[in-house]
Order: sequence, then C-alpha cells, then structure tokens
Amino acid sequence: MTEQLTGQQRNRERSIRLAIVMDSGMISTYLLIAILSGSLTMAAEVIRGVLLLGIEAFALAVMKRIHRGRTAILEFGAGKLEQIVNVLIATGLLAGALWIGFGVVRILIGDKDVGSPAGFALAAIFASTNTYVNILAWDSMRRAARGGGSLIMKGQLQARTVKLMSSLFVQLTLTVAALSNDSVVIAWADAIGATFVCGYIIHSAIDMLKAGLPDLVDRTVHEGFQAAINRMLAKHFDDFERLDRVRTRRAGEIIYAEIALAFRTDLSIGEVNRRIDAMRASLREEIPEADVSILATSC
Amino acid sequence: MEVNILADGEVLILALQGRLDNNTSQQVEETLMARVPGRPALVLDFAGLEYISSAGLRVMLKIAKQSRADGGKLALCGLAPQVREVFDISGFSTILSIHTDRSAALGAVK
Repeated sequence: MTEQLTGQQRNRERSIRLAIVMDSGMISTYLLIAILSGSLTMAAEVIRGVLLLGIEAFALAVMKRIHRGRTAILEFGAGKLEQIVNVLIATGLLAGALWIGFGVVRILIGDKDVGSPAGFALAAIFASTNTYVNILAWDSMRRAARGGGSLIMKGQLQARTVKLMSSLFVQLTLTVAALSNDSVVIAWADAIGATFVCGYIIHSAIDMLKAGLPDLVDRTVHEGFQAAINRMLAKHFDDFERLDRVRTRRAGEIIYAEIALAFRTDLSIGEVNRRIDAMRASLREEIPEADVSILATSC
Repeated sequence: MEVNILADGEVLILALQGRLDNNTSQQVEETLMARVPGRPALVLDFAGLEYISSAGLRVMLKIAKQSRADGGKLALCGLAPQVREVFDISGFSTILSIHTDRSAALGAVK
C-alpha cells in the first residue's frame, strides 16, 4: 500500500533525519577529541549528544508510525505517546546534567586532572564547526515546526535550542582554556563551561517535565478551558435539566471534555441531539481543538 | 473552606468562607446538595468567599438547577469584586440572581 504523507509530515521527518546524521558525525568526532584533550566539557557534550541522538532516533520512529497511521490501537490519538517521548527527553537530560555536575565538583576539588592546552585547542576548533552545524540544524527544525503541531516537534526544537545555546558558550570556554597556559584558568574555564551546559540542560528539562507530566497523569485542563465550558453551560442553561459531571483531560494538542447532562424525559431523541449539537458548537467556537463528548441521560 | 448554615424563616442561608476551588468543590457540593433539595428559598452568602474556580461555579450551577427543579427561589449575595468578575466572565451573572448584601437577597427570595 502506498503511504501518502503531507508535505509538512515529510519535512518534519526529513529535518529529524538530517539532525540525526549530523549529530552522529559530530558526536564521533567529539568523542575522539574528548579522549585526546581530557576536557570535562567535551566529555559532557559527548554524553549529552549520545543521549539526544538516542532520543532523536526514538522520536523519529514514533513520528513515522504516527504519520503512517500505525497507531490504530491508540484510540484517543498519539498525544500521550508524544508526552511520554517529551518526558523521556527531559529525564535523560536531567541524568546527563547530574553526571556533568559530579565532574565539575571533581575538577574544583582537584580530584580530576585538567586537560592539555593542545587538546583544548583541538576541541575549540571542532567546537566551532559544531556551532555552525547546530545553527543550521536549529534553523531547519525551527522552520519545520513553524506550522504549529506536534509535541514531538516542539520537544525537538526545544532540545535543539538548548544544544545551540550550549555550544556557543562551550565554544567560548574551550577557546579560553586553549589560549591559557595557567592550569587554574584552564580548570575554571572547563568547570564553568560544563556548569553552564549543566544549568541550561536542567532548566530546559524542568520546563519539559512541567509541560508533559500534568497531561500524562490526566490532570484537569487549565482554567481558561474550564471557563469556556462554563460559558457554554450558562448559555444553554435552559436546554438541560441537570449537570451531572464535567471531566477534562489533554492529550497532545487535543483537549478532551466529557460533560454529563440530564434532559427532560418528554423530549424526543432528535430534540436532545439538536441541543447537544448546539452546545458542542458553542464550545468549539471558543476552543476549536476541543473533542467534546456530551453524555445525555433523562430525568 | 467553611459552610455556615443558618435559617431565616423558610429561607435557608448558606454562608461560604474561604476558597471554592478544585480541591474544595466536591466537599462543598456534597454539603450543599444534602441540604438544598426541597427548600422553597435559598440564599448563598459569599461575603466570606475569597476565590471561586470554574469547578466551584459548576457547584453553583448544580444548586441552581436543583432549586429550580424544586420550584424554589435562589439568590446570591456579598460577592467580592474578584468573585463577581468570575461570575461575569463565565456568564453566570445572567442566569443567577445576584445581590449586594444578605438583606437584599432575603428580600428577593421571600
């Protein structure tokens, strides 16, 4: 069977594939330089890079399944799956940050040797290449995610932004370390670079967890949507007899609302359906991405 | 969240104090719905209410529906500006009888 993908879907897959290819090349080079230079910052970059690479590969695999409709068992859509990927990215980033943090402490207490100036010089040269590649990859991802859309793309773009910002700062610290002959300056430059990467990763990971976890545990949807439901209920106050319950949850970009109402027994099924359709339309006027179920009982 | 229950003749007065939000709405709903059915007149005094969320508003909607089903009268009073704003934004001001103070609300339901 021929698989029909939209231009935007193809673009998204291509951008992640491109990022994976470029990252693989850079990480291999970084690994070699990290071993030669003994730089903690470079080692941290390798760890973070490997982590992101694995997550990118997973994200691409999930995205391909979603785009090809191979998620038939997920009757409520793939939103939760996207949130799981996002939470995995954040958890992995936090674990990487922890590892970097331990390394910084070891450098500052003198438990770890600083790298060689020649090694740092090599690292700084390759870091500049990486910075350039990161700018290209980030720009490609930004353009692909511009059409709105999935959490996977947003997660990937956020991860890319973290990577770009980090690489710029890493470039600076590696250059300082490379130009200095003072082992104290080298140690501090390496420690500061690694700490910066660490801080940026933690900040980003916490943001991602904040965005993904509440929806993953089906927390009630934000107050703005709740107010929209209330406006609809107020507008159609005379159309139903009793409000039994309202439940909301979010999966990816879609907000699900389940509203249980009781209607008069003397109303025909057609009339009840007409009223339900009107309520649903009222809610969708305000929140187009809402998937609203109105359950009717009689009283 | 506290609910003080008073009576003025046939009118049941329910004075709410604190915050009526997602955490307290279920408890308040149970308290109110246990007392509202069959009452000919009801006043909800919000003078001590600091905040009401959408979940809290829905408790009010359920009470309004119950009161109407019983053929009773319902009035609200003492809404702080921030609480009144929530009622206005949600459109509940148009479906509920809202008064400035308790005496005005009692006058409306008697």
